Amino acid sequence: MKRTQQQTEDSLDRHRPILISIAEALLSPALRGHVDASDLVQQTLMEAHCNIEELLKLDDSPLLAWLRSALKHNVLDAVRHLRTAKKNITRNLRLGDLHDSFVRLEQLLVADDTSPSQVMQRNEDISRMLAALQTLPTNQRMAVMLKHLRGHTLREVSEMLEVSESAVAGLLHRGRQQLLLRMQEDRSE
Amino acid sequence: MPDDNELLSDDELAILERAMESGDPLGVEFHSRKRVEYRSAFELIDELAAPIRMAIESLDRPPVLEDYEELTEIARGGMGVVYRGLHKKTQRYDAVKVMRPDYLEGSASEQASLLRLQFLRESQLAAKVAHEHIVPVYQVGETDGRPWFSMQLVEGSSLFDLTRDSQISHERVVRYIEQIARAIDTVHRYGILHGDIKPQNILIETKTDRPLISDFGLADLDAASTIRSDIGIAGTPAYMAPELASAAINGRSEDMTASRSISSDVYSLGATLWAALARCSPCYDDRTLPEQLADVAKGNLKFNKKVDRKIEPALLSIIGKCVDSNPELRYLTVGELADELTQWLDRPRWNQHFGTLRKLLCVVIAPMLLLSGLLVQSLLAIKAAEFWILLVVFAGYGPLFASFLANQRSAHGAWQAHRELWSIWAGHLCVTIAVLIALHILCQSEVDRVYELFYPFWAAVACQVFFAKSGSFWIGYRWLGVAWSLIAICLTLTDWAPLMFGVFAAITCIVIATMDRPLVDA
Repeated sequence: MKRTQQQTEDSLDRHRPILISIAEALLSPALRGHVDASDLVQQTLMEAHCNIEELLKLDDSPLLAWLRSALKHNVLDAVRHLRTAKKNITRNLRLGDLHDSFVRLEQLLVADDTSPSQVMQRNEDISRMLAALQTLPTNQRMAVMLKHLRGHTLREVSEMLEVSESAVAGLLHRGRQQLLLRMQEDRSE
Repeated sequence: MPDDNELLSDDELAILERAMESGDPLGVEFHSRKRVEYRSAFELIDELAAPIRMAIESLDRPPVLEDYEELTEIARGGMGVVYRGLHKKTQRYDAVKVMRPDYLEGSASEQASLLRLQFLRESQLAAKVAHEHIVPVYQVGETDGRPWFSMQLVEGSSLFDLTRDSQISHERVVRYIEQIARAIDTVHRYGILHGDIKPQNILIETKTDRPLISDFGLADLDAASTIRSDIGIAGTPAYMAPELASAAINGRSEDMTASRSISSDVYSLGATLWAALARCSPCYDDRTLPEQLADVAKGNLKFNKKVDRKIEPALLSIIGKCVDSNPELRYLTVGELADELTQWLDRPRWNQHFGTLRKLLCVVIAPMLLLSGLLVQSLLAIKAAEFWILLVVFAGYGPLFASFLANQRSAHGAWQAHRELWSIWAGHLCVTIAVLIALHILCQSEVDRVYELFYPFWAAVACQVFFAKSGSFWIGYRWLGVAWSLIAICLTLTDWAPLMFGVFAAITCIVIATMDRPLVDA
């Protein structure tokens, strides 16, 4: 069933924080000062608006997949551009890795041993979590991002954020509780 | 009895966090309500974050190998990731190349097993190749369905990094390529092709300054990944021979394997040499991978478009023969190419062997020539005895030959250059004597007339000398030759021929001393 234009526009807006979280998570910390995740997401949503006719046919899940793919191209373009402009920052950067991460993410989101409905449920929860992440205060968000999304250890996160391990543990704990609370609110809406 | 209203302090949280991280949280008690809540929140968020984390992590995690420990990533290519690892038994650090997990995942299971088999077969083949300029392969294996092989860890950097990061002399680049060409030629004799020669595959050992080529025989796999767009920017087609690029565009891997030959290796070596000298890729950077592939097939490459003035014409012509679009017009073997490069390296270069001569040119010979021009002019004006004029004319040869003699002892490996210089300047002396005798006969020893004619002749002889020198020495001598032919004509038009000759000669000396610089090895 086709959605109305308004419904799709609303859906696009709801996806904004999810996409920002994905972009922030996949961009390595070294790049973050030079590539702005929210700019890239803004650009991606603009492209979606230009293709709104095509997107009316899509439900939330395939719509998000479309957006992730558009985001991938924008991220890669931005990094490629950065690479030609500022050689030293991107010297050790492997563009192929960034591309691989996006491809791998798509594989992981689709493939699962569980039933399609469970996969869908899980992906919705992931989206809720990613959206809720953007409502956290910056230091909590960074801690959760580095620890759970980028897989760094407590010690590494404390080195990266330049605060003590205990302080990071506190940020993580409060961040996670906030996240669960926001997700709960989101679900009940 | 744990307190249900217990507030967790940051320090306690850090202990819990580490316990969760260890994957074995049993050591810490999770009995209070707060702690149970803590644990479930941790697990829930961690599980939801897993796909993104795995998307980033799975590519970086080193595999677990039985024979190796302490694996740390040092490089990655289209097909495999290279780790530095400690071999448990020998306690030596080796480089371990492991096939990327996503390389196999992208293919159908049948194709994946074929690729695995090919990887193993090729690395076994590579293990048989032994040469001082080829990275030796030690061990071949497979772990968790991922094939791997270990090889010597070369402490140094690749030719690609070396030329990008620092200015290294052309001599050094040519020497590296020449040594690599000898190694590849040896292996070609055993019927093994490299197929993927590029600056990234040539490693320079820092301690010995020895170039080594790696990834022998893995070309089919690596090329396949270059073309497989789903793997991303994995490799570069920049050094691929055009006939291979055409086959790749048509998407037929059998064609690619069939097109691979000695002459495609010759092409890749030529393109590699050019890239290392020009310090950039032969392909245009702003093009996408498929566009670059098409450019290679059509020859739309930098070395075909503009002549790089920084590269010597002799080298450009060697490269041109390597990268000819017609494989039949390239060097027949890599050995032929190596011979050409050896010849270039051994060419006589007076500027490297005659250090003192350059100084002498500025400090002694140039002022002397100027002075002798002035003296001859004055001696003619006061109608002095011809003996004095002859003395001044021939005096210039003194320091020239003296410096040759002095350098002959110290210069090492410069005999060819010496021989050429001796021949040229001895010839110059003979011609000067012959011309003077001839002019005396023709002008019936009328001194004014003799020297009016002598200087244009002498300039013409200088023209010939510079052309002769341009053959083996600095290419700029040709332009000096042209200049001296014009000077010869000018000298017939003036009454001040001796003085003008002296001025031009002094200028020429200074031009030579400043422009014909010795090559300094970085």
